[in-house]
Amino acid sequence: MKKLLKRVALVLCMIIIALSVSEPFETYAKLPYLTYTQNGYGQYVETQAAYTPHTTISKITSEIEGIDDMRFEEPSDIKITDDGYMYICDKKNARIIVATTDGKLDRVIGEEWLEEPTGVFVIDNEDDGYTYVYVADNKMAREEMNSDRKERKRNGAVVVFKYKKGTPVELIPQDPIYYEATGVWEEQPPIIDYKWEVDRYYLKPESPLYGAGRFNPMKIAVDQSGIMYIISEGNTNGIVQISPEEGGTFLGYFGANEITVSLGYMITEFFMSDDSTAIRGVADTPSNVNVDEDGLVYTITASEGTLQSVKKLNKSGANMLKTEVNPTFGVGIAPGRYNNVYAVTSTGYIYEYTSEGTLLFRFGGKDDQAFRVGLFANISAVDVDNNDYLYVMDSINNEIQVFKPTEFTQLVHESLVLYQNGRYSDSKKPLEQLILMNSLFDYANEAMGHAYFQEENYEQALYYYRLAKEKQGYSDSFWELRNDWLTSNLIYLIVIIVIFWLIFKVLGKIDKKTGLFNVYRRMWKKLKKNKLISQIAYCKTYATHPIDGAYAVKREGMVSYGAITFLMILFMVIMIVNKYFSGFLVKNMRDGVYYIPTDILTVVFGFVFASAVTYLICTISDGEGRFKEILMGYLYSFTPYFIIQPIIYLGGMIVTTNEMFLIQFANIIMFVWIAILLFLTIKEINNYTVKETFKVIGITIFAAVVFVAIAFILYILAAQVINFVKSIYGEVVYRLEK
Amino acid sequence: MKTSKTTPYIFLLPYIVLFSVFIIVPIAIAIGLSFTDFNTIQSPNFVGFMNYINLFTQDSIFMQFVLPNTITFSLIVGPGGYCLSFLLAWSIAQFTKAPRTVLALIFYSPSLTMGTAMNILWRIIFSGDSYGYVNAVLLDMGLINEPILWLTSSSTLLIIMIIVGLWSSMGIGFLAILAGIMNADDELYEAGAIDGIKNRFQEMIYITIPTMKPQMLFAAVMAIVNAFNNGAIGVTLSGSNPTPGYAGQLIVNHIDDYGFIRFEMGYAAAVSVALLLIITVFSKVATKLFGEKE
Repeated sequence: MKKLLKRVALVLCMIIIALSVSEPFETYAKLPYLTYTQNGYGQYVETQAAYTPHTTISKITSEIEGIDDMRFEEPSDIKITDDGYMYICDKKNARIIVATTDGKLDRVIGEEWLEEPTGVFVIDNEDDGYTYVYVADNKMAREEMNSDRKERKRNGAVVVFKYKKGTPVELIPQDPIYYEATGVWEEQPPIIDYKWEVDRYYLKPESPLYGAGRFNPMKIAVDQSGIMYIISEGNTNGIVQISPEEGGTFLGYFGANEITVSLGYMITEFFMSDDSTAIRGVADTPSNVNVDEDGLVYTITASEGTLQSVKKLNKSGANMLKTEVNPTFGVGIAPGRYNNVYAVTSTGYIYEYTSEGTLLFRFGGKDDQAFRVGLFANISAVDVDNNDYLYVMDSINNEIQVFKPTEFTQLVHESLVLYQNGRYSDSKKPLEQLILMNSLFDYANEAMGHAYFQEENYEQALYYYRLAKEKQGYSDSFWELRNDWLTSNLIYLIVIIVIFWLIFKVLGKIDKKTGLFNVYRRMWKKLKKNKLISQIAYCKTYATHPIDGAYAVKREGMVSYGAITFLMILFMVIMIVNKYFSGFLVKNMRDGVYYIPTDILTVVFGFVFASAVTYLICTISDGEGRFKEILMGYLYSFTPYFIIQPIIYLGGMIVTTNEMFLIQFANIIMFVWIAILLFLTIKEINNYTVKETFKVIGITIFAAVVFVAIAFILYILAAQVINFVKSIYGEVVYRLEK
Repeated sequence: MKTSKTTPYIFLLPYIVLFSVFIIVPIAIAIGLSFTDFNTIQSPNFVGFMNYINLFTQDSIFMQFVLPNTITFSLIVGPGGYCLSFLLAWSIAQFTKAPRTVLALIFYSPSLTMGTAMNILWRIIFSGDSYGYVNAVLLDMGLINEPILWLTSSSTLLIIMIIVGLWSSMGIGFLAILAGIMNADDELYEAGAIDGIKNRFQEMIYITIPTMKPQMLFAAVMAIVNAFNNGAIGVTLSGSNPTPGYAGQLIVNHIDDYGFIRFEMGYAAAVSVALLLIITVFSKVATKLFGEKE
């Protein structure tokens, strides 16, 4: 009977296990957060999930008899070693919990010796077989460190524990104690020997270079040579660098954040005397630090004002991670296995970067007391294990959430490692798969472009760079392609040009002698008899002789609404073609974005409004111009735009960044020319002197601003009125229905 | 008195001889060499247009750095220096004789003392350590945190070359313009004043510039030629040819590089001919803009 029961229980258990195993399909169905990546324009775009919640560790289970399961309170730091142990800095309980990554207790370190541990770092020393656990303690716990109780509260210490991995925990049974008051023998719990010892500790450096500040270690990282990088709370000089030699030698400060000098600050400083430099800003202290196997130091800073909050520092303290995405409230940072970097913010977001600083993914979010897996109340630290699982520590919910990389992310990592090792051709395979999974993942497109570029397959490189909106790469591959084309066709090109030139010369000669083209000339003359055509064609003369031009507009009838409309449409066409269909390198608009109706309205409204305002101002300041003349003059003044902009447009198709300066020069020449023409138009049409013209232009701009402001106010008022009428209508309908 | 047809040529002979020996013959030789492969030791062999084809198709440094650098430099220093020359010449022409002479000498001297000045002045001003003047000032103001390597960094060298080029652009053209302004007929200004010219600016636009068109043209051509031929700046400032990252490499440096470092005279000659053509084209443009239209 008992056996049968046991069997039934077993079967039931198995069913439950089977059910629970098949269950993950449901949890995959909907994640509580969206995953974003950065596209080639630097915008966040949604992508498929990069990491999915795997498990949540909220307590450490104990398999050692005599020790209960443990919970941590306000955990502040986590480190995971390659062999699968995690070190949890249990701040409230002042201890370090060592556990396996699946949450089983190994041992507890540092009880009695720690007061307020906030940072932990682990080094396995292969020479003596010990594992060293470095703990940054905000305060000092033991009297032997410093006899002054106040000092112990003021300054903290770095305590280094050591133990041998795998040494079993020993329970030392205690004899019962006889209590005389009650008269009973009371059983004593056994003393647990976790088999660790204090190796050494470091107090505030005595070097005068350290300065007068306190020493309150918050976080710690240690490189292979044993040099410690310690973040001391409130120390704005940078990270404290201490070498283990001679009981701790202060090496100096490292990797300080830069102070951003604002213009306002500079002006203030300029007027202030030297004594009052107290207003000088201070650099923010990093909030976390980490070191990778190569000895590169990673820091993250929480402050909003910091320009570069995520940093990868080399030995000399120079930042090698130039990223555009700088999270605020950053609290934790961890290097990954592929030179990638994970950063977390206390607001619940997790960022993953490539070694160059391109944002790969951003996910997670703030948990509004819903306790949903995948969201956080307050992240305090992050680390990553050997399988790329992310361990994210939440210091309010007192748990560690484990995230598992998806297949997509694994492919990203695979291509990352191949690409970084220079195996471009091999990296193409995972990249192709990635692009199949998400063709809008611009990182993959860019890497693909690089891979093809390295293979000297420039056509493919060009294609992928174009997809990735990577301008420099696109330009380089385009240069190569163009160079190839020139190499094979330059001779023909020159020959064709020479032939054309000769033909023109010969035809010109013949024309001079026999009047070959007189027919066309006569036709053109006839055409010019048409008032409208002659007015439109007049813009060529206007551009080179604006003073005569203005006279012609005023006195010789070179003005009509027909010509105005034609030139305006021409302007719109050139502008729209140039804005949306120009060469990739000179294009400022994003792909697939069109605001053509707005553009048309802007052009019409812009010209009419500018002319109207000028006209209004001119009439009250002795100007002679009429509205129609001013509008015509303005449009004629844009002749350089009609002539040069098409050339720029065509040039934009064939230039690379090397020749971009030609485009820029052309633009400068065009705009200066237009500005001169506009100025002379106002001056000549109204018969002003130079001084008067400047005055009128100033007043016109002011008037335009006033008009725009009034229009804006009227718009708001009108919107209010409409809203009011609408709500009254709604109210009436509601009451009537009732 | 009867003169034979040869007499004028005899008078012209000294000029013709000198001009041929020092200008025409070298150009002819350069053009000849540009069709050969010549390493200064063996006799040149004829290669046809190969050098030119290589220049535009194979020499990626020429297309990627040298040509853009040269055009940027010349387009800014040429017209910029020209405008500066004109404005300075016009403003110092307003002084009396003594200060005018002194000022003219001061403005003219940079173009005479280029090499020395560059070494003792600009290299100290833009020195790459924290004791260079610019670095020291910027560091003091807190604009930068560490000294910038002005002269060896590829992003700043060209800008500094342009600054130095503008500073030293008050050369022969400047003197010509000054002379032109000084020689303008006073009666014209008087007439202008009677006709209603109100200020100095109008005087300049309506009288000075029209009367000195020939000098303006000469100065413009000189400005262009100088801008294109100004090769020493980048090399002297950075102290190396090629300049770091080819950032300040101009055509003249490229010619130097091929001619006197690699001893590929044929190719260097081809580049010089290309430079000659470019200068000719730009001079033509200047002539079109400033020349008499009759």
